[in-house]
Amino acid sequence: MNAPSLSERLVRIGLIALALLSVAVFLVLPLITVFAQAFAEGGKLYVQAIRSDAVLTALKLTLIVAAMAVPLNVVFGIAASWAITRFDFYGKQILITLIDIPLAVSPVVAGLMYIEVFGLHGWFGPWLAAHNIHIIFAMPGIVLATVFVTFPFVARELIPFMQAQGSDEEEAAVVLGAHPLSIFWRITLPNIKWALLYGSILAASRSIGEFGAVSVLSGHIRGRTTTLPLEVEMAYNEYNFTAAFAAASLLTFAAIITLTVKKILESASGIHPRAGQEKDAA
Amino acid sequence: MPRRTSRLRLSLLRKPSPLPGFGVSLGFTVTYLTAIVLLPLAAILARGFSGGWATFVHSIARPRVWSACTLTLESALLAAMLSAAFGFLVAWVLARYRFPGRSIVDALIDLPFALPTAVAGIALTTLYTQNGWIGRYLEPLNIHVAFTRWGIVLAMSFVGSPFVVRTVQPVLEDLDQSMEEAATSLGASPWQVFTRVLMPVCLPALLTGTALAFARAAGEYGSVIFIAGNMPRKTEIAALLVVTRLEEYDYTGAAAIAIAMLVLSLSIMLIINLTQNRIQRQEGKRG
Amino acid sequence: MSIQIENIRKNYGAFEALKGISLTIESGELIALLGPSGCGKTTLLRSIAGLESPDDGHILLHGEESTRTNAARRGIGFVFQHYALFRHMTIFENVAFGLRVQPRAERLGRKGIHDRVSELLRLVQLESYARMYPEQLSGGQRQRVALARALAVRPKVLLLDEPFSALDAKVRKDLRTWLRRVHDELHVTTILVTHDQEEALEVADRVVILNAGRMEQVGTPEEIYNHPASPFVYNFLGNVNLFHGRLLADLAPAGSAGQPQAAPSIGFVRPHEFEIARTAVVGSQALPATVSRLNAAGPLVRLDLTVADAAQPVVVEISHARLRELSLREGDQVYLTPTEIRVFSNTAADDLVDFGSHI
Repeated sequence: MNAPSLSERLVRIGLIALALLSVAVFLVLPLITVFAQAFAEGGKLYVQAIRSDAVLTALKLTLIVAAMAVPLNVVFGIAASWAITRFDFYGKQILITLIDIPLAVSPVVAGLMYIEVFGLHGWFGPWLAAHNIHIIFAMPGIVLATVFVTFPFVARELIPFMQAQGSDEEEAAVVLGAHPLSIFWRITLPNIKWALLYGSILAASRSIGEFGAVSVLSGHIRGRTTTLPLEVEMAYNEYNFTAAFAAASLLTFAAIITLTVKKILESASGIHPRAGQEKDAA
Repeated sequence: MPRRTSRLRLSLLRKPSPLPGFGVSLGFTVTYLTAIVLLPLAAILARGFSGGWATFVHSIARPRVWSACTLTLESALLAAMLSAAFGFLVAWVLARYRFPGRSIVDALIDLPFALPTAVAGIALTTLYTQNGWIGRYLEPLNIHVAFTRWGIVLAMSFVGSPFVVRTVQPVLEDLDQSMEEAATSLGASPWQVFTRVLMPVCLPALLTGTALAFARAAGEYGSVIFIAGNMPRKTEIAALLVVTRLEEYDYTGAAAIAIAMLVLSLSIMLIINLTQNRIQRQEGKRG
Repeated sequence: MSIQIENIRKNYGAFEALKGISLTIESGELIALLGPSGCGKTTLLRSIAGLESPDDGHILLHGEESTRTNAARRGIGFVFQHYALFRHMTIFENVAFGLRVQPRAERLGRKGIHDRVSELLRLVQLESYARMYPEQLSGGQRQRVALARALAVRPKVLLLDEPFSALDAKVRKDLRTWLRRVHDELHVTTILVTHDQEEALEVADRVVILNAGRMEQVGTPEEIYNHPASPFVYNFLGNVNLFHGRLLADLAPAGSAGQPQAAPSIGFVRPHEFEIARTAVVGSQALPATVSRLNAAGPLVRLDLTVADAAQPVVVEISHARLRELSLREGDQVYLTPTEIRVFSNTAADDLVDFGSHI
């Protein structure tokens, strides 16, 4: 457009400066604080904290939970978006709304919901106790809660993506006589790989970082049911700040990697970052 | 060759489709959703009302619960407005200006999404306590953030701001430059172009983003409990109260509060979805 | 208001969009800027509007230096290709916009604005649509609203950027006529950018032909069409057959059409500028040809004729009456004589992108 006048240029610079300043104070400072606090007592103590049993087992547990929750949700995401974007059926809108529910639910409430189903006094409580199966206050519970909070992510990336792509290619494959699994493997999957990857990254990041829901039903047993975010909380409450921030630094590192990979994927595939509930498939 | 679809599936489908896998995909999806979402929701409803309406109301109407709920709602509202201001500014700058480091800022906006809430919680607390990097400048001004309601608002707006940015930014990016040029050619000053042409178009997105930030803030737990102080009736948020009740083995009480929170957040989600649908149908009509 | 454009240059990075354009536009004229995509016509229009700043040169509006004046203060009205109506405002509010943003001192009161908007909606015949929103109107109606909006503030110049190109052919023709009528009524200096030569020739007082950032020719529609100054103009305005080498020598012996001797040249003949006969008159410059295709659908009959040594068929248009006179059929042998032929040297025709007859 026209070359900006002096006042327009000043406004622009002012706004950019204000925005950058707010981002720095609001978002960047907390980031830096984590690392500053983690190394406050020196690099040696930091490494010691990282290598402590508590942190290492928590890290292991966190990664195992993520490794179980994400693939489950990937399968769900694919199934849900296939049904939603390739077929027209009654109740589709309700289905889509249901998928969004975990995004609107407080994590604490999510944890409580699972206690009500699987806890000692829950619906399946007595049956589970009788068979000596532990879900709440044990790993399965943590996995379940994590699955709950992360399952929308893959589906919500795939749905608009597959909607926009249309089903022409798959229909062509049907006409040519391809077997359903073959259609899925050779045609659908290659086409959705970017959205799938993107959604998986979001789901993985969220499952590593989930705190509220897991906190409610984990039992906080170090070495057995403590994930890394929980370890952060526990160490902090014990005034063991170096350990707390050391664990936090690992999680922050993971977050930074997530953001970087996201940005790269966005430029490579043209996917836009989205906020909360936008309806695209209807 | 297409398999014969069962009668149930045929009646569900509005239009027959040549593509395979309807039954499997829909069946799996519905089962998954029932097990993961509907069942637990039903369980919590059952628990909350297990003593009947009277017990439910009694669990909610206590002073401590009331304080927690009002505190949570007020703080979430304030936080949403703060997120709206910050979010709009950042979305504007990101969408309309090019400057060095823009990509990094764009990526950083999602930090509150990617960072575990507990990490955010302890980081914010450390920053805003008396000796913290920011707290030390606010103390002399008699502004106390940590362990007060302001800390709660701060933490809530931290987690809520990405929602505003990510709903407003696409709208600003998709704006047709010729509308602004038309307004300018008709004699409008830059301020008039902003208030009369740009803002009205952004307003729906801004409201949606703010509503989302509000809903998220009201349910927030991890990032708030460290900075809040958690004193009953003073700085105790609803989510924390639920946990406290659980620790007291008052499952019904916990479920009751949880149900109240659910009603709030699900209603907001529903309203947003309905308005979004209406807006999208209108967009579809435009030539 | 008269407009003086002096030696305007505009570059986008390495790309030279305008390479030194100078033009004078009289007050009250309707001028068309015509040319292919990328020729710079829109850039020139937007520079006059103040939506682009030229790198060099001057723009004078009514004698006043305006090259750096803000678009909001030039007193221009601009109509965009895709209407640019404000989606969130009613038709009434759209047209009233320019009146409402005027500084308080100059602003008309509520009644004044209401009357002016109604007057304009009457002019564009959309009074009953005042309370509707742009999305409820058709493309042609939206463009009329855009015009009413631009005219509301009594601009001294009206600028239209390919205003009808997004519309159907029939709507385009109607709006074209209607624009001319509105112009005759209001006498506002008007500049119209278009890539449709039919539109330019039909509507404008004068036509400016632009090619790759330079002015090729300025003149009335008749001047431009009948006396094209260059092969580009000739080629751009209407369909043309090209003849070189031996064929050209047969049709136009050296020196007869004014071409320089012995310089390689190209001859231009329009499809309707041929005489067809069944027999050759001895001593005339007639080319023997065979009718390979005959298409009698439409106001004129189109004939594709194969000529020995010609790479492509020669396209000729004759009237239906003439077709009946000659009782032509596909496969018949005829003789072609051009009634008008213009010859340009090869180098002059070098910047023609496509050669060959094309319809």
